[in-house]
Amino acid sequence: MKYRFNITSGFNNSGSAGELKKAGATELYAGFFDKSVNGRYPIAFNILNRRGEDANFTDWSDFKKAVNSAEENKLPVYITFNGIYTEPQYKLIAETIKKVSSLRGVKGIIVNDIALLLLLKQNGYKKDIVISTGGTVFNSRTVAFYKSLGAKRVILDRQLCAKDILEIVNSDKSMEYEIFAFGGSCFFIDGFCSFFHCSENIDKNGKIISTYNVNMCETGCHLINENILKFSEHYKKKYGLNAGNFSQNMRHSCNLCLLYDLKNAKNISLKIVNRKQSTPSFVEAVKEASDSIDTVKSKKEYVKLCRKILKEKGLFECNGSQCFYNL
Amino acid sequence: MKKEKAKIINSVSQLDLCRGFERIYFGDEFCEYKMPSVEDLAVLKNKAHGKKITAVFPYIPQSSFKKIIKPLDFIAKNAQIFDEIVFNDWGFFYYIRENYPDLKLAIGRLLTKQKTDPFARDIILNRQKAASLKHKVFIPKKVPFETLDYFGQNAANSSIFHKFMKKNNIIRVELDALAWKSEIKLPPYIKSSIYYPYAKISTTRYCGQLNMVEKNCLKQCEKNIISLKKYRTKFSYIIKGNAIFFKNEKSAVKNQSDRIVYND
Repeated sequence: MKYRFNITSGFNNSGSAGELKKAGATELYAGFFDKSVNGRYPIAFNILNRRGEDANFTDWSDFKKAVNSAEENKLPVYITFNGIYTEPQYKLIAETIKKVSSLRGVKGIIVNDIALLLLLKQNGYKKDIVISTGGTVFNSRTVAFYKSLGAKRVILDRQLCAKDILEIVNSDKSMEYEIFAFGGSCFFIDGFCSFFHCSENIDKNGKIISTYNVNMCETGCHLINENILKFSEHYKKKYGLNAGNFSQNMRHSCNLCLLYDLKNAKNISLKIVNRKQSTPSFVEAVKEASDSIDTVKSKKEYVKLCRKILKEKGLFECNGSQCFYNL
Repeated sequence: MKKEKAKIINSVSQLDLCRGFERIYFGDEFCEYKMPSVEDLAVLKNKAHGKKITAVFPYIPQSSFKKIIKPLDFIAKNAQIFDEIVFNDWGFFYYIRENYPDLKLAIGRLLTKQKTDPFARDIILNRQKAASLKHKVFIPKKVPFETLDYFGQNAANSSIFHKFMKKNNIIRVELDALAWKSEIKLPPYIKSSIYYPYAKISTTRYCGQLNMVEKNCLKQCEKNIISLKKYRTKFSYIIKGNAIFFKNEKSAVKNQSDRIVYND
Protein backbone atom coordinates (compact mmCIF):
# COMPACT_ATOMS: atom_id res chain seq x y z
CA MET A 1 0.00 0.00 0.00
CA LYS A 2 1.28 3.47 -0.85
CA TYR A 3 1.95 5.52 2.25
CA ARG A 4 -0.24 8.53 2.84
CA PHE A 5 2.47 10.24 4.88
CA ASN A 6 6.23 9.83 5.00
CA ILE A 7 7.29 8.40 8.35
CA THR A 8 10.58 9.85 9.57
CA SER A 9 12.20 7.96 12.39
CA GLY A 10 15.24 8.64 14.51
CA PHE A 11 17.95 5.97 14.66
CA ASN A 12 21.23 5.66 16.49
CA ASN A 13 22.67 2.26 15.66
CA SER A 14 23.73 0.54 12.50
CA GLY A 15 21.55 -2.50 13.08
CA SER A 16 18.18 -0.78 13.23
CA ALA A 17 17.56 0.44 9.68
CA GLY A 18 16.08 -2.86 8.45
CA GLU A 19 13.81 -3.16 11.46
CA LEU A 20 12.58 0.42 11.08
CA LYS A 21 11.93 -0.15 7.38
CA LYS A 22 9.90 -3.24 8.21
CA ALA A 23 7.92 -1.26 10.80
CA GLY A 24 6.98 1.33 8.20
CA ALA A 25 9.61 4.08 8.29
CA THR A 26 10.24 5.80 4.96
CA GLU A 27 13.05 8.12 6.07
CA LEU A 28 15.53 8.28 8.94
CA TYR A 29 17.37 10.96 10.84
CA ALA A 30 20.38 10.79 13.12
CA GLY A 31 23.06 12.90 14.78
CA PHE A 32 26.79 12.58 14.33
CA PHE A 33 29.71 14.25 16.05
CA ASP A 34 33.10 12.67 16.53
CA LYS A 35 33.67 11.81 20.21
CA SER A 36 36.80 13.99 20.21
CA VAL A 37 34.58 17.12 20.40
CA ASN A 38 33.62 16.08 23.94
CA GLY A 39 36.88 17.66 25.07
CA ARG A 40 35.57 21.08 24.10
CA TYR A 41 31.77 20.82 23.90
CA PRO A 42 30.43 17.85 25.85
CA ILE A 43 27.73 16.17 23.76
CA ALA A 44 25.71 15.79 26.98
CA PHE A 45 25.07 19.55 27.03
CA ASN A 46 23.22 19.50 23.69
CA ILE A 47 25.48 22.21 22.32
CA LEU A 48 26.34 20.83 18.89
CA ASN A 49 23.10 18.90 18.58
CA ARG A 50 19.83 19.31 20.41
CA ARG A 51 19.85 15.79 21.81
CA GLY A 52 22.56 14.37 24.02
CA GLU A 53 24.76 11.33 24.33
CA ASP A 54 22.13 8.67 23.67
CA ALA A 55 20.94 10.16 20.44
CA ASN A 56 24.13 10.71 18.46
CA PHE A 57 26.62 8.57 16.60
CA THR A 58 30.12 9.39 17.81
CA ASP A 59 32.16 6.91 15.78
CA TRP A 60 32.61 7.53 12.06
CA SER A 61 32.80 3.88 11.00
CA ASP A 62 29.60 3.04 12.94
CA PHE A 63 27.88 6.02 11.42
CA LYS A 64 28.99 5.18 7.90
CA LYS A 65 27.85 1.58 8.34
CA ALA A 66 24.46 2.82 9.59
CA VAL A 67 23.97 5.20 6.66
CA ASN A 68 24.99 2.47 4.21
CA SER A 69 22.53 0.09 5.83
CA ALA A 70 19.79 2.70 5.51
CA GLU A 71 20.69 3.17 1.86
CA GLU A 72 20.47 -0.59 1.25
CA ASN A 73 16.96 -0.41 2.74
CA LYS A 74 16.10 2.58 0.50
CA LEU A 75 15.72 4.87 3.49
CA PRO A 76 17.13 8.37 2.91
CA VAL A 77 18.89 9.80 5.96
CA TYR A 78 18.90 13.36 7.32
CA ILE A 79 21.62 14.41 9.75
CA THR A 80 20.97 16.89 12.54
CA PHE A 81 23.10 19.99 12.95
CA ASN A 82 20.47 21.71 14.99
CA GLY A 83 22.46 23.54 17.64
CA ILE A 84 22.96 27.28 17.87
CA TYR A 85 26.58 27.84 16.96
CA THR A 86 29.22 30.46 17.62
CA GLU A 87 32.04 31.85 15.50
CA PRO A 88 34.73 29.47 16.88
CA GLN A 89 32.48 26.48 16.08
CA TYR A 90 31.62 27.16 12.43
CA LYS A 91 34.81 25.57 11.06
CA LEU A 92 34.09 22.32 12.95
CA ILE A 93 30.43 22.37 11.88
CA ALA A 94 31.25 23.08 8.22
CA GLU A 95 33.83 20.26 8.13
CA THR A 96 31.44 17.80 9.75
CA ILE A 97 28.63 18.74 7.37
CA LYS A 98 30.98 18.23 4.41
CA LYS A 99 32.08 14.84 5.75
CA VAL A 100 28.58 13.45 6.43
CA SER A 101 27.17 14.89 3.21
CA SER A 102 29.80 13.01 1.21
CA LEU A 103 27.91 9.80 1.98
CA ARG A 104 25.48 8.90 -0.80
CA GLY A 105 22.81 7.76 1.69
CA VAL A 106 22.65 11.17 3.35
CA LYS A 107 19.85 13.13 1.72
CA GLY A 108 20.29 16.32 3.69
CA ILE A 109 20.82 18.06 6.98
CA ILE A 110 18.53 19.43 9.69
CA VAL A 111 19.52 22.91 10.89
CA ASN A 112 18.13 26.03 12.54
CA ASP A 113 21.02 28.40 13.14
CA ILE A 114 20.51 31.43 10.87
CA ALA A 115 24.23 32.13 10.49
CA LEU A 116 24.80 28.50 9.50
CA LEU A 117 22.02 28.77 6.91
CA LEU A 118 23.69 31.90 5.53
CA LEU A 119 27.02 30.05 5.35
CA LEU A 120 25.44 27.06 3.61
CA LYS A 121 23.83 29.38 1.08
CA GLN A 122 27.09 31.25 0.54
CA ASN A 123 28.94 27.97 0.01
CA GLY A 124 26.26 26.56 -2.34
CA TYR A 125 25.36 23.49 -0.24
CA LYS A 126 23.83 20.98 -2.65
CA LYS A 127 21.83 18.51 -0.54
CA ASP A 128 18.47 19.14 1.14
CA ILE A 129 18.15 21.57 4.03
CA VAL A 130 15.47 20.86 6.60
CA ILE A 131 14.60 23.45 9.24
CA SER A 132 14.57 21.91 12.71
CA THR A 133 11.83 22.51 15.25
CA GLY A 134 14.39 24.86 16.77
CA GLY A 135 13.55 27.16 13.86
CA THR A 136 10.18 27.94 15.57
CA VAL A 137 7.96 27.83 12.50
CA PHE A 138 4.52 29.08 13.54
CA ASN A 139 3.31 30.64 10.28
CA SER A 140 3.61 30.55 6.50
CA ARG A 141 5.76 33.69 6.31
CA THR A 142 8.39 31.94 8.43
CA VAL A 143 8.29 29.11 5.88
CA ALA A 144 8.89 31.69 3.13
CA PHE A 145 11.79 33.18 5.11
CA TYR A 146 13.52 29.80 5.48
CA LYS A 147 12.82 28.99 1.82
CA SER A 148 14.65 32.19 0.91
CA LEU A 149 17.65 30.81 2.83
CA GLY A 150 17.60 27.55 0.88
CA ALA A 151 15.33 25.28 2.96
CA LYS A 152 13.39 22.52 1.22
CA ARG A 153 11.47 21.29 4.25
CA VAL A 154 10.40 22.78 7.59
CA ILE A 155 9.51 21.00 10.79
CA LEU A 156 6.51 22.76 12.31
CA ASP A 157 6.47 23.63 15.98
CA ARG A 158 4.57 21.28 18.28
CA GLN A 159 2.43 24.11 19.67
CA LEU A 160 0.18 24.66 16.67
CA CYS A 161 -3.32 23.37 15.91
CA ALA A 162 -4.63 21.36 12.91
CA LYS A 163 -6.19 24.46 11.31
CA ASP A 164 -2.90 26.36 11.45
CA ILE A 165 -0.97 23.35 10.12
CA LEU A 166 -3.32 23.00 7.15
CA GLU A 167 -3.15 26.71 6.33
CA ILE A 168 0.64 26.61 6.47
CA VAL A 169 1.09 23.48 4.34
CA ASN A 170 -1.41 24.72 1.77
CA SER A 171 0.22 28.14 1.49
CA ASP A 172 3.26 26.81 -0.37
CA LYS A 173 2.89 23.35 -1.86
CA SER A 174 6.40 23.40 -3.31
CA MET A 175 7.75 23.02 0.23
CA GLU A 176 7.85 19.85 2.33
CA TYR A 177 6.60 19.83 5.91
CA GLU A 178 7.23 17.65 8.91
CA ILE A 179 5.19 17.36 12.09
CA PHE A 180 5.69 15.43 15.30
CA ALA A 181 3.78 12.17 15.37
CA PHE A 182 5.10 10.33 18.36
CA GLY A 183 7.64 10.44 21.15
CA GLY A 184 9.21 12.82 23.61
CA SER A 185 7.27 15.92 24.32
CA CYS A 186 7.86 19.10 26.19
CA PHE A 187 5.66 21.67 27.78
CA PHE A 188 7.77 24.52 26.44
CA ILE A 189 8.49 25.73 22.90
CA ASP A 190 11.59 23.81 21.87
CA GLY A 191 13.28 26.54 19.85
CA PHE A 192 12.65 29.26 22.42
CA CYS A 193 13.70 27.27 25.44
CA SER A 194 16.99 27.80 27.21
CA PHE A 195 16.48 25.47 30.14
CA PHE A 196 19.73 23.67 30.78
CA HIS A 197 19.74 19.95 30.03
CA CYS A 198 22.41 17.40 30.71
CA SER A 199 21.67 14.31 28.60
CA GLU A 200 24.41 12.06 29.83
CA ASN A 201 25.00 8.32 29.89
CA ILE A 202 26.30 7.43 33.32
CA ASP A 203 27.11 4.12 34.93
CA LYS A 204 24.24 3.88 37.40
CA ASN A 205 25.57 0.64 38.87
CA GLY A 206 28.84 2.07 40.12
CA LYS A 207 29.26 3.44 43.65
CA ILE A 208 31.38 6.36 42.52
CA ILE A 209 29.85 8.11 39.53
CA SER A 210 31.63 10.70 37.44
CA THR A 211 29.10 13.16 36.01
CA TYR A 212 28.67 16.68 34.64
CA ASN A 213 25.60 17.20 36.82
CA VAL A 214 25.86 15.97 40.40
CA ASN A 215 22.11 16.53 40.70
CA MET A 216 21.73 13.53 38.40
CA CYS A 217 19.08 13.97 35.77
CA GLU A 218 17.44 16.94 37.44
CA THR A 219 17.33 20.13 35.42
CA GLY A 220 15.39 23.38 35.57
CA CYS A 221 12.20 22.36 33.79
CA HIS A 222 11.88 19.17 35.84
CA LEU A 223 12.19 21.25 38.98
CA ILE A 224 9.46 23.59 37.78
CA ASN A 225 7.22 20.60 37.29
CA GLU A 226 8.06 19.28 40.76
CA ASN A 227 7.57 22.68 42.36
CA ILE A 228 4.20 23.26 40.73
CA LEU A 229 2.93 19.84 41.75
CA LYS A 230 4.36 19.99 45.28
CA PHE A 231 2.92 23.42 45.99
CA SER A 232 -0.34 23.14 44.07
CA GLU A 233 -2.39 23.48 47.27
CA HIS A 234 -0.42 26.59 48.22
CA TYR A 235 -1.08 28.17 44.81
CA LYS A 236 -4.73 27.29 45.05
CA LYS A 237 -5.05 28.90 48.48
CA LYS A 238 -2.94 31.96 47.80
CA TYR A 239 -3.90 32.75 44.21
CA GLY A 240 -6.91 30.55 43.46
CA LEU A 241 -4.88 28.89 40.73
CA ASN A 242 -5.29 25.39 39.39
CA ALA A 243 -1.98 23.52 39.16
CA GLY A 244 -3.50 20.13 38.46
CA ASN A 245 -2.84 19.71 34.77
CA PHE A 246 0.65 21.10 34.22
CA SER A 247 2.51 17.84 33.84
CA GLN A 248 0.29 16.31 31.15
CA ASN A 249 2.47 17.68 28.40
CA MET A 250 5.81 16.80 29.94
CA ARG A 251 5.69 13.17 28.89
CA HIS A 252 5.36 11.11 25.75
CA SER A 253 2.86 12.55 23.34
CA CYS A 254 1.36 11.59 20.02
CA ASN A 255 -0.80 13.12 17.31
CA LEU A 256 -2.41 10.01 15.83
CA CYS A 257 -5.95 11.42 16.07
CA LEU A 258 -4.89 14.59 14.30
CA LEU A 259 -3.82 12.65 11.20
CA TYR A 260 -7.49 12.28 10.28
CA ASP A 261 -7.79 16.08 9.98
CA LEU A 262 -4.65 16.21 7.83
CA LYS A 263 -5.59 13.34 5.55
CA ASN A 264 -5.81 15.48 2.40
CA ALA A 265 -2.41 17.12 2.84
CA LYS A 266 0.07 15.66 0.36
CA ASN A 267 3.40 16.96 1.58
CA ILE A 268 3.67 16.05 5.25
CA SER A 269 6.18 13.76 6.94
CA LEU A 270 5.51 12.38 10.39
CA LYS A 271 8.39 12.53 12.82
CA ILE A 272 9.01 9.85 15.44
CA VAL A 273 11.07 11.46 18.19
CA ASN A 274 12.70 8.41 19.59
CA ARG A 275 15.95 6.56 19.11
CA LYS A 276 15.53 3.57 21.37
CA GLN A 277 14.65 -0.10 21.21
CA SER A 278 10.98 0.86 21.38
CA THR A 279 11.20 3.07 18.25
CA PRO A 280 9.94 0.39 15.80
CA SER A 281 6.74 0.02 17.88
CA PHE A 282 6.14 3.75 17.61
CA VAL A 283 6.70 3.60 13.86
CA GLU A 284 4.31 0.65 13.55
CA ALA A 285 1.63 2.52 15.51
CA VAL A 286 1.91 5.60 13.31
CA LYS A 287 1.83 3.52 10.12
CA GLU A 288 -1.13 1.47 11.28
CA ALA A 289 -3.09 4.58 12.24
CA SER A 290 -2.18 6.36 9.02
CA ASP A 291 -3.12 3.35 6.87
CA SER A 292 -6.52 3.13 8.61
CA ILE A 293 -7.71 6.61 7.73
CA ASP A 294 -9.49 5.51 4.56
CA THR A 295 -11.12 2.48 6.14
CA VAL A 296 -12.98 4.23 8.97
CA LYS A 297 -16.38 5.85 8.67
CA SER A 298 -15.84 8.81 10.96
CA LYS A 299 -13.29 10.66 13.06
CA LYS A 300 -14.91 9.22 16.18
CA GLU A 301 -14.27 5.71 14.92
CA TYR A 302 -10.74 6.68 13.95
CA VAL A 303 -9.96 8.08 17.42
CA LYS A 304 -11.26 4.88 18.98
CA LEU A 305 -9.03 2.87 16.67
CA CYS A 306 -5.97 4.99 17.53
CA ARG A 307 -6.52 4.40 21.24
CA LYS A 308 -6.79 0.69 20.57
CA ILE A 309 -3.52 0.70 18.62
CA LEU A 310 -1.71 2.54 21.43
CA LYS A 311 -3.01 0.14 24.04
CA GLU A 312 -2.35 -3.03 22.05
CA LYS A 313 1.23 -2.03 21.37
CA GLY A 314 1.75 -1.19 25.04
CA LEU A 315 2.82 2.38 24.20
CA PHE A 316 0.52 4.21 26.56
CA GLU A 317 -3.08 4.43 27.72
CA CYS A 318 -4.46 7.50 25.98
CA ASN A 319 -6.38 9.83 28.27
CA GLY A 320 -6.98 12.43 25.58
CA SER A 321 -4.56 14.98 26.98
CA GLN A 322 -1.08 13.84 25.92
CA CYS A 323 -1.32 15.34 22.49
CA PHE A 324 0.91 17.31 20.17
CA TYR A 325 -0.86 20.13 18.35
CA ASN A 326 -3.83 20.28 20.74
CA LEU A 327 -4.08 24.05 21.10
CA MET B 1 28.86 54.89 28.32
CA LYS B 2 25.56 56.66 28.89
CA LYS B 3 22.73 54.18 28.90
CA GLU B 4 19.26 55.01 27.70
CA LYS B 5 16.61 53.88 30.17
CA ALA B 6 13.53 52.22 28.70
CA LYS B 7 10.46 50.69 30.33
CA ILE B 8 8.44 47.87 28.79
CA ILE B 9 4.65 47.87 29.21
CA ASN B 10 1.87 46.06 27.35
CA SER B 11 -1.13 48.23 28.15
CA VAL B 12 -1.77 51.95 27.87
CA SER B 13 -3.13 51.81 31.42
CA GLN B 14 0.49 51.27 32.53
CA LEU B 15 1.78 54.50 30.96
CA ASP B 16 2.29 56.08 34.38
CA LEU B 17 5.01 53.50 35.02
CA CYS B 18 7.08 55.10 32.24
CA ARG B 19 7.68 58.37 34.10
CA GLY B 20 11.41 58.97 34.43
CA PHE B 21 12.24 56.73 31.47
CA GLU B 22 13.53 58.04 28.17
CA ARG B 23 11.89 55.42 25.95
CA ILE B 24 8.80 53.23 26.02
CA TYR B 25 8.77 49.62 24.87
CA PHE B 26 5.18 48.72 24.06
CA GLY B 27 3.87 45.20 23.48
CA ASP B 28 4.95 41.74 24.51
CA GLU B 29 7.64 39.29 23.48
CA PHE B 30 5.79 36.10 24.36
CA CYS B 31 2.04 36.45 23.95
CA GLU B 32 -0.02 36.91 20.81
CA TYR B 33 -2.87 38.33 22.92
CA LYS B 34 -0.69 41.21 24.08
CA MET B 35 0.35 42.42 20.64
CA PRO B 36 0.01 46.19 20.15
CA SER B 37 -3.38 47.15 18.68
CA VAL B 38 -4.01 50.21 16.50
CA GLU B 39 -6.21 51.67 19.26
CA ASP B 40 -3.42 51.38 21.83
CA LEU B 41 -0.84 52.77 19.43
CA ALA B 42 -3.08 55.78 18.73
CA VAL B 43 -3.37 56.50 22.47
CA LEU B 44 0.38 56.14 22.87
CA LYS B 45 1.04 58.50 20.00
CA ASN B 46 -0.85 61.22 21.83
CA LYS B 47 0.39 60.51 25.33
CA ALA B 48 4.05 59.66 24.84
CA HIS B 49 5.09 63.28 25.47
CA GLY B 50 7.94 63.22 23.02
CA LYS B 51 9.35 59.88 24.11
CA LYS B 52 10.34 57.47 21.38
CA ILE B 53 8.47 54.18 21.30
CA THR B 54 9.73 50.72 20.43
CA ALA B 55 6.87 48.41 19.36
CA VAL B 56 7.39 44.86 20.63
CA PHE B 57 5.92 41.81 18.92
CA PRO B 58 5.90 38.14 19.98
CA TYR B 59 6.04 34.92 17.96
CA ILE B 60 2.88 34.75 15.90
CA PRO B 61 0.87 31.62 15.08
CA GLN B 62 -0.73 31.39 11.64
CA SER B 63 -4.22 32.18 12.90
CA SER B 64 -3.07 35.46 14.49
CA PHE B 65 -0.85 36.63 11.68
CA LYS B 66 -3.51 38.84 10.10
CA LYS B 67 -3.65 40.85 13.34
CA ILE B 68 -0.28 42.44 12.61
CA ILE B 69 -1.30 44.17 9.38
CA LYS B 70 -3.14 47.22 10.77
CA PRO B 71 -0.68 47.92 13.62
CA LEU B 72 2.22 47.73 11.17
CA ASP B 73 0.49 50.18 8.82
CA PHE B 74 0.00 52.56 11.73
CA ILE B 75 3.60 52.19 12.88
CA ALA B 76 4.92 52.79 9.36
CA LYS B 77 2.84 55.97 9.06
CA ASN B 78 4.09 57.20 12.44
CA ALA B 79 7.69 56.02 12.26
CA GLN B 80 8.97 59.30 13.74
CA ILE B 81 7.50 58.22 17.08
CA PHE B 82 7.49 54.42 16.69
CA ASP B 83 11.05 54.34 15.50
CA GLU B 84 11.89 50.66 16.18
CA ILE B 85 10.17 47.29 16.07
CA VAL B 86 11.32 44.32 18.15
CA PHE B 87 10.60 41.04 16.37
CA ASN B 88 10.58 37.56 17.88
CA ASP B 89 9.31 35.71 14.82
CA TRP B 90 11.22 35.24 11.56
CA GLY B 91 7.98 35.24 9.55
CA PHE B 92 7.03 38.60 11.04
CA PHE B 93 10.52 39.88 10.19
CA TYR B 94 10.16 38.61 6.62
CA TYR B 95 6.73 40.22 6.25
CA ILE B 96 8.15 43.58 7.37
CA ARG B 97 11.10 43.30 5.00
CA GLU B 98 8.74 42.57 2.10
CA ASN B 99 6.23 45.29 2.91
CA TYR B 100 7.92 47.97 5.01
CA PRO B 101 11.62 47.81 4.13
CA ASP B 102 12.37 51.19 5.73
CA LEU B 103 11.28 50.23 9.24
CA LYS B 104 14.13 49.81 11.68
CA LEU B 105 14.25 46.50 13.45
CA ALA B 106 15.59 45.01 16.65
CA ILE B 107 16.04 41.26 16.98
CA GLY B 108 14.17 40.07 20.07
CA ARG B 109 15.40 38.07 23.03
CA LEU B 110 13.75 34.88 21.80
CA LEU B 111 15.81 34.97 18.61
CA THR B 112 19.16 35.97 20.09
CA LYS B 113 19.15 32.52 21.67
CA GLN B 114 21.23 33.13 24.76
CA LYS B 115 21.67 30.33 27.25
CA THR B 116 20.07 31.79 30.36
CA ASP B 117 19.06 29.03 32.81
CA PRO B 118 20.90 29.79 36.08
CA PHE B 119 20.80 26.07 36.88
CA ALA B 120 23.84 25.76 34.59
CA ARG B 121 25.92 28.26 36.56
CA ASP B 122 27.68 25.99 39.05
CA ILE B 123 28.14 23.31 36.41
CA ILE B 124 29.81 25.42 33.71
CA LEU B 125 31.85 27.40 36.25
CA ASN B 126 33.13 24.11 37.72
CA ARG B 127 31.76 25.02 41.14
CA GLN B 128 29.90 21.80 41.82
CA LYS B 129 30.93 19.77 44.82
CA ALA B 130 30.74 16.01 45.13
CA ALA B 131 27.31 14.84 46.27
CA SER B 132 26.01 11.58 47.67
CA LEU B 133 22.67 9.88 47.32
CA LYS B 134 21.55 6.35 48.20
CA HIS B 135 25.07 5.06 48.96
CA LYS B 136 26.45 6.49 45.72
CA VAL B 137 28.93 9.33 45.36
CA PHE B 138 28.68 11.72 42.44
CA ILE B 139 31.93 13.36 41.41
CA PRO B 140 31.66 16.36 39.08
CA LYS B 141 33.48 16.11 35.74
CA LYS B 142 35.45 19.17 34.70
CA VAL B 143 33.65 21.30 32.14
CA PRO B 144 36.01 22.63 29.43
CA PHE B 145 36.68 26.35 29.07
CA GLU B 146 35.24 26.34 25.53
CA THR B 147 31.86 25.36 26.96
CA LEU B 148 31.84 28.26 29.40
CA ASP B 149 32.74 30.58 26.53
CA TYR B 150 29.88 29.10 24.47
CA PHE B 151 27.36 29.78 27.24
CA GLY B 152 28.33 33.46 27.21
CA GLN B 153 27.65 33.96 23.49
CA ASN B 154 24.52 34.89 21.54
CA ALA B 155 23.32 34.18 18.01
CA ALA B 156 24.05 37.73 16.83
CA ASN B 157 27.78 37.60 17.55
CA SER B 158 28.97 36.05 14.29
CA SER B 159 30.37 38.13 11.43
CA ILE B 160 28.10 36.62 8.76
CA PHE B 161 25.11 37.52 10.93
CA HIS B 162 26.35 41.11 11.18
CA LYS B 163 26.22 41.41 7.38
CA PHE B 164 22.73 39.93 7.38
CA MET B 165 21.59 42.46 9.99
CA LYS B 166 23.03 45.38 8.07
CA LYS B 167 21.41 44.25 4.84
CA ASN B 168 18.04 43.87 6.55
CA ASN B 169 17.88 47.10 8.55
CA ILE B 170 18.32 45.33 11.90
CA ILE B 171 19.90 48.02 14.02
CA ARG B 172 19.68 46.55 17.50
CA VAL B 173 19.98 43.29 19.43
CA GLU B 174 17.90 42.59 22.57
CA LEU B 175 19.71 40.59 25.25
CA ASP B 176 19.55 39.32 28.81
CA ALA B 177 22.04 39.81 31.60
CA LEU B 178 23.33 36.33 32.41
CA ALA B 179 24.32 34.62 35.64
CA TRP B 180 27.84 34.28 34.22
CA LYS B 181 30.11 36.35 31.98
CA SER B 182 28.58 37.14 28.62
CA GLU B 183 30.18 38.48 25.49
CA ILE B 184 28.55 40.91 23.09
CA LYS B 185 30.48 41.16 19.81
CA LEU B 186 28.77 43.68 17.56
CA PRO B 187 30.00 46.16 14.96
CA PRO B 188 29.52 49.88 15.77
CA TYR B 189 26.41 50.14 13.58
CA ILE B 190 24.54 47.53 15.68
CA LYS B 191 23.53 48.50 19.24
CA SER B 192 22.33 46.30 22.06
CA SER B 193 19.81 46.46 24.91
CA ILE B 194 19.90 44.56 28.18
CA TYR B 195 16.68 43.58 29.93
CA TYR B 196 16.59 44.00 33.68
CA PRO B 197 15.90 42.45 36.13
CA TYR B 198 14.03 39.50 34.56
CA ALA B 199 16.01 37.28 32.20
CA LYS B 200 13.81 35.02 30.10
CA ILE B 201 14.32 31.27 30.17
CA SER B 202 11.42 29.73 28.31
CA THR B 203 7.89 30.20 27.03
CA THR B 204 4.87 28.10 26.10
CA ARG B 205 1.54 28.42 24.36
CA TYR B 206 0.02 26.07 26.96
CA CYS B 207 -0.24 29.19 29.05
CA GLY B 208 -3.35 28.26 31.02
CA GLN B 209 -1.43 25.32 32.42
CA LEU B 210 1.85 27.11 33.14
CA ASN B 211 0.31 30.08 34.92
CA MET B 212 -2.50 27.89 36.21
CA VAL B 213 -5.36 30.09 35.03
CA GLU B 214 -6.81 27.35 32.81
CA LYS B 215 -8.34 28.14 29.44
CA ASN B 216 -10.03 31.20 27.90
CA CYS B 217 -7.61 34.06 27.92
CA LEU B 218 -8.90 37.02 29.87
CA LYS B 219 -5.33 38.12 30.60
CA GLN B 220 -5.73 36.75 34.12
CA CYS B 221 -2.04 35.92 34.12
CA GLU B 222 -1.25 39.61 34.56
CA LYS B 223 -2.67 39.49 38.07
CA ASN B 224 0.06 37.31 39.54
CA ILE B 225 3.77 36.90 39.31
CA ILE B 226 4.44 33.45 40.68
CA SER B 227 7.78 32.81 42.28
CA LEU B 228 8.12 29.06 42.43
CA LYS B 229 9.06 27.74 45.81
CA LYS B 230 12.71 26.87 46.05
CA TYR B 231 12.14 23.16 46.41
CA ARG B 232 15.55 21.65 45.61
CA THR B 233 16.62 24.71 43.63
CA LYS B 234 19.11 27.45 44.38
CA PHE B 235 17.30 29.96 42.20
CA SER B 236 13.67 30.94 42.10
CA TYR B 237 12.06 30.41 38.74
CA ILE B 238 9.46 33.07 38.12
CA ILE B 239 6.30 32.65 36.06
CA LYS B 240 5.11 35.87 34.44
CA GLY B 241 2.35 35.31 31.90
CA ASN B 242 3.31 32.50 29.55
CA ALA B 243 7.03 32.67 30.18
CA ILE B 244 9.59 31.62 32.76
CA PHE B 245 12.25 34.00 34.05
CA PHE B 246 14.89 34.29 36.68
CA LYS B 247 15.47 37.53 38.51
CA ASN B 248 19.00 38.71 37.99
CA GLU B 249 19.91 40.69 41.09
CA LYS B 250 23.19 41.90 39.59
CA SER B 251 23.28 45.38 38.13
CA ALA B 252 22.77 45.58 34.39
CA VAL B 253 24.91 48.71 34.19
CA LYS B 254 28.28 46.98 33.80
CA ASN B 255 28.17 46.00 30.16
CA GLN B 256 28.69 47.62 26.79
CA SER B 257 24.99 47.91 25.90
CA ASP B 258 23.70 51.43 25.39
CA ARG B 259 20.20 50.73 26.68
CA ILE B 260 18.58 49.05 29.68
CA VAL B 261 15.01 47.85 29.32
CA TYR B 262 13.37 47.61 32.72
CA ASN B 263 10.90 44.76 32.77
CA ASP B 264 9.82 44.67 36.44
